[in-house]
Amino acid sequence: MSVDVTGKVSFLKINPSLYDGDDSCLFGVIPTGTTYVDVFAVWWGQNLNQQPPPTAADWVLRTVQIAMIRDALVNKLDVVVTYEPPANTFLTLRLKAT
Amino acid sequence: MFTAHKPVRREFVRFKDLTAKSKSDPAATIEEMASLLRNSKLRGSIQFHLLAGDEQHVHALSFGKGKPKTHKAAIPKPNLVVTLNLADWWQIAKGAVSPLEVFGRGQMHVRGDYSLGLRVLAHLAANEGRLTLCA
Repeated sequence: MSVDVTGKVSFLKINPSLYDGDDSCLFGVIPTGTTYVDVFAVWWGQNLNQQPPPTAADWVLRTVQIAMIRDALVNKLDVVVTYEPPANTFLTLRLKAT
Repeated sequence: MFTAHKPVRREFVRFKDLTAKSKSDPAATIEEMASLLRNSKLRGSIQFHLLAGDEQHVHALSFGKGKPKTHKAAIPKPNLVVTLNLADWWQIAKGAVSPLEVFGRGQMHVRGDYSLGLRVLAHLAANEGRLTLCA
């Protein structure tokens, strides 16, 4: 069953350090009315030898996602993240209409 | 001459075996964790939501003031809430899989102070290895 989290982006961390094995991007959302942070992964390529490398299309999508999260962080916009527990990757990510 | 770097990945840190007391009761694994945290200087509380189909087992652990305590229900304002499948928890509790691997597979949701989880993992580590989360 999917769950919606609405709130402000609290951080965006990108670590492209392929060679130390931590090629990842995480962001946090503080749900409205709370003080805790929900942590989500945009990607985490830890299983380098088991996964096919990301394609150009993957990178286009990642770039768009990062741009949206960055805009939300900088402009303090509300985002809505839909995910399915226990997953930390999201099904959809959108800016909340005001 | 150009030499391509081959990515070298160190193993992730795994927990010590937390299943010594029981191989079927998740509460016993949390109690074992509490017991191993007895002499640590860590402070905080962690709540686990272990999913098994439609069922959800909630266990919590608080530590830092006196003897660590375990709870078989939700506690108010835990510092960290971890949600994962019960089957994955057993792999983690046996020390077979690192919680960071489960997180990296996208099968663990974390709410709150995830650095607390990393500190607990460091204290209860069974092996030397990587202990970073997008750091």
